[in-house]
Amino acid sequence: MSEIINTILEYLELVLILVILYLYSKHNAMQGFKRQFKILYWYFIVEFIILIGTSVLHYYKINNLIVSHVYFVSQFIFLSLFYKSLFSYGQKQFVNTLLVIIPLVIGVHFYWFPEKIWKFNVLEIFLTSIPLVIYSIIHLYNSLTRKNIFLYVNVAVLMYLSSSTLIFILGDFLTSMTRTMVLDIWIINKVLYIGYLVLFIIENIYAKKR
Amino acid sequence: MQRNDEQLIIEGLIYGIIFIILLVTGLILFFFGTRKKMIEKEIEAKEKEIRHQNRIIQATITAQEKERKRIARDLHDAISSKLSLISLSTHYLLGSSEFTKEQTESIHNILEIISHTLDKSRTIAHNLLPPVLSKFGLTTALEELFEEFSANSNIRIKQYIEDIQLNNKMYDLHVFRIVQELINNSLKHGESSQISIALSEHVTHFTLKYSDNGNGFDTRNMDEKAGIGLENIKSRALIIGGEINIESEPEKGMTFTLNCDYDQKNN
Repeated sequence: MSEIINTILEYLELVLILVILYLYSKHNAMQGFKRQFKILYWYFIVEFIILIGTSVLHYYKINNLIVSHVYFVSQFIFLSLFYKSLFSYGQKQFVNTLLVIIPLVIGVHFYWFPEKIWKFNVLEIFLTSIPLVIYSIIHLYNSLTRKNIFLYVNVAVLMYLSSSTLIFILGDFLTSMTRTMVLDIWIINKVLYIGYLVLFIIENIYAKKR
Repeated sequence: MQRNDEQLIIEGLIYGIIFIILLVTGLILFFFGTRKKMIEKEIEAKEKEIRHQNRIIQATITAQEKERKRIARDLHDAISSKLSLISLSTHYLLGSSEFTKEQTESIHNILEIISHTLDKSRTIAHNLLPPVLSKFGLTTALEELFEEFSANSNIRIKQYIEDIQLNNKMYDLHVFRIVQELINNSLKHGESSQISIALSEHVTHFTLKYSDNGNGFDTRNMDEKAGIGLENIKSRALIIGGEINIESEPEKGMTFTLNCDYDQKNN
């Protein structure tokens, strides 16, 4: 049963990403926020490729955890660029610094522990997710006194990243456990991810109204 | 690993996720609550500022009217009366036969200048504060105002003015100035050819209804584009405790309504 739900949710994720790609492809019409929608559009193109890549590798019984590294790093880069475009000058400098330091640290970490490429890398997950949660809180703080922009995207990032980070950090641990029980956790993660994608669609509808 | 331990860890993880979701929801709700409070405070501060500005404008208008009255009185008492005296004395000089032809001509010239200056000073005093307003009241002053505008422009004025007693000269003056400003606006900006004015008395309040067939304007932009004239009208309406309503569309003229409670104006 869990397997069926898992497959259905996987397809639903793909459909929702395609809907987002269709909606965000019209980013030129988003007055004032063209740049942000463009970044998110490319972010979801990469997400879509990663999702397909994971399924293909899974189908051919190849360890698909290697794709997780692309997922975490690309997510970190795209969402950092997205938040950077919304931040003030000082905050932009903070994002720029982390954009250089974090990939560097992860690179060095993989150089020292090459075997981690076939597993979940806890340090990588932590270093690529926590800054995004911090950016999200900074944006929430900025929105207190400024116009409320990208509210849904921000809520989505804050909600999904903070909860999914916990699952991914325990990822390696979970893969060593009994499959049926672990599947439930991955289903929870998928449901959270679907909520995340839905909020991106709502953001588009809200932006059009604005 | 024991199956039981695995279950415990997974349960712990699920509770952890629920905890994080609740924490984040709390954070977002806290954000909205704070934001709402900040906006409310900001609105309150802005309203206070507007009230303060309104008080300043009202005080300025009141001071302006007092000053106009004083200048009009001084013009009459100090200048016009003295000029009349000079005119009288000069006329007396004309009776003398000692002057040459050129000298008599000069005296005639002086008399003409004095008469011209007297007329000017009367017009200035009249414009500053129409004497008819204080002597005969609002209705007569308005009728005189309409006659003046009709005589000096091509505008047609339809009037339905009831003889109402506002019991307070200051209110008479403000209503008079509002009408004066409205007609000026209709001529200057609206390029109107026809104006209709109705002043009616009710049990609890009086109503001034004014409409023209001019260019009109978009009332949605009124607050941003309101000129000094309109601001003046609003402030005067506020002073007498009246409520105004302006309806207009581009190319469709405008209608202005002022409702003022008697309780308010007698305060």
